[in-house]
Amino acid sequence: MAADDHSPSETSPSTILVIEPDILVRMTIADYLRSCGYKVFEGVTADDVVTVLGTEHKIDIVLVEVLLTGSMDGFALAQWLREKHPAVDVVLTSGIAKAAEQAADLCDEGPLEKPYHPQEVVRRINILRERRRTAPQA
Amino acid sequence: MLSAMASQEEATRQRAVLVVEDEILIRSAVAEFLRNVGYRVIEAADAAEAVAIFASRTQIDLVFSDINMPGPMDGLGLVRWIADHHPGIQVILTSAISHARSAGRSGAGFLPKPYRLAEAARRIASLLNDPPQEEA
Repeated sequence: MAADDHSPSETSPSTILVIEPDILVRMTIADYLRSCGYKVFEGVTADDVVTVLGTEHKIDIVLVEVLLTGSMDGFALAQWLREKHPAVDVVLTSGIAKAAEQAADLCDEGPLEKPYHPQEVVRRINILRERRRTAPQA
Repeated sequence: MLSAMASQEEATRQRAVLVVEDEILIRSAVAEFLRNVGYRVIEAADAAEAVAIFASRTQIDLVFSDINMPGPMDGLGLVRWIADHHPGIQVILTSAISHARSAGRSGAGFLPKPYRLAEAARRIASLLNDPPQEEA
């Protein structure tokens, strides 16, 4: 399936955990992802990610805003996920300038700059899923 | 004629439930269940987020809210705010601690935790005068 197709790239829908402190942004992107067929969890802080990953729920991708309140910001969360949950992909989003430079070693394409189009989120998700699907098994 | 069309549109519009709950696992479970029985669901993690949703003029038919939440406004405070600013919006409060009397005084319904998701959906449908709904 083409990476810019706006639908889940596998037969079973991927599960996305959206971490975004602005409820209007979170609601908009979560609604859009659900309309594309993804299963979506909505959270506010990095602690929500830790909570969900501590259960039996399987999360494929965490879409996370860089600026978070609480124990970890988006960068720290991405690093934590890479160490503790390497099977989970991360897409960082940000409204702050220079975030791309800071994120260079965490997120290959850099954060999605706000305001972003929801379709761009899906394009990124599909790229990550395709990369994960075609990666050589460890 | 126009009012008849408007009421038919109202009757077929998907009902919107605002779920206000700080615990992500509970919030997600309730929201997913309600989506599966046909509601549009907006998820808020505290009362401030619920107020932001109302400020955005998002259509809300019913609020299903926890009482004990972090932040300056708890569920009972949210009920009072809704009564002042959006009278007519129905509210169901939930809590692991019995607040039935306080909830009753505030005009909201009360559903003690732990509750069965089907029971929450039944209470919501009853308040909205919706027919009983089957999970998809």
